Amino acid sequence: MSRKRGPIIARTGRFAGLIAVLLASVSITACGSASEGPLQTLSAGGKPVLAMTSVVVTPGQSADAEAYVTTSAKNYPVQVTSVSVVPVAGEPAGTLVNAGVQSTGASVAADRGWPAVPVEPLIGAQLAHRLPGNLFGIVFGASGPATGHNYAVAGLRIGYRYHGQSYSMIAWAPLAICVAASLRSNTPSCQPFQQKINQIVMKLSGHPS
Amino acid sequence: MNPWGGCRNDPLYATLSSGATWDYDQSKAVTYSAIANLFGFTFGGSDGFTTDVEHDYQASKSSPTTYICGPKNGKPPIDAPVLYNTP
Repeated sequence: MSRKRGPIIARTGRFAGLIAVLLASVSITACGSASEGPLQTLSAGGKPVLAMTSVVVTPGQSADAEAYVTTSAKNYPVQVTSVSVVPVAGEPAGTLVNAGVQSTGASVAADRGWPAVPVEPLIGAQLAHRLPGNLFGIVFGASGPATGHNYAVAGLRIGYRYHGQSYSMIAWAPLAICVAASLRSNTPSCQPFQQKINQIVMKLSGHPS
Repeated sequence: MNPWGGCRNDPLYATLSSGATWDYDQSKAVTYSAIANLFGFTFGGSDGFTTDVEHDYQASKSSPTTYICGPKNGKPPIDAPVLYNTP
């Protein structure tokens, strides 16, 4: 009897182990994943495409940029549930003013004042393909409070639901914000700060430098 | 020549405000020196007709909003193989 029990217990144990692994996998999937959903930051050759921007603004004024996201979603809508800025380590983070989905095709390279182009609210938006190539643009604005200080954004962290599950992803969109009392011909350029931010975000995003 | 006549005619244009910069690392930029001088753009290339894979747009602090567009292939500037910056 005992000879027969041994193998049965061993098989049962292996089966239980398999069930445990499967349950763990289901649990992880149900909690959402940073990389398994249908939304991805725009990339080429497996590397993120970075449109790096800098804007000089006055205190509290919105510096506008755009993050580009591709979707592989088919047949089911993607609904955005949250958005926040991804900070750049070691630099003060820009405060998110607003974010929206571009609604006419017009996009933002780098601009100021919200919104620079027509947008629809991002939160609650049911994303469909707005541009060719399963691509859509998320226009966002960020600001900083203090004159003479610089602020940075590495990109947007976007939470969304798809097919009954929650996901989050990062859309890389480096933005350097330089706050000045006013925009004059002798206002210091924001480009040196932008180049510093670019280098950091390129490493952070896995972009080949 | 800009196939749109002016980038505002492209519904997929992108805006660049005065004193702002946009560095984009994929497509090639096409512009003309007179336009570049007029709107204060600088490029990675020095001849105003850059063929660099990477390029920079920088609008002068006194320029109005400038519009960037791609060729008539239905692609937005972020995904276009060639870019124009005529007004």
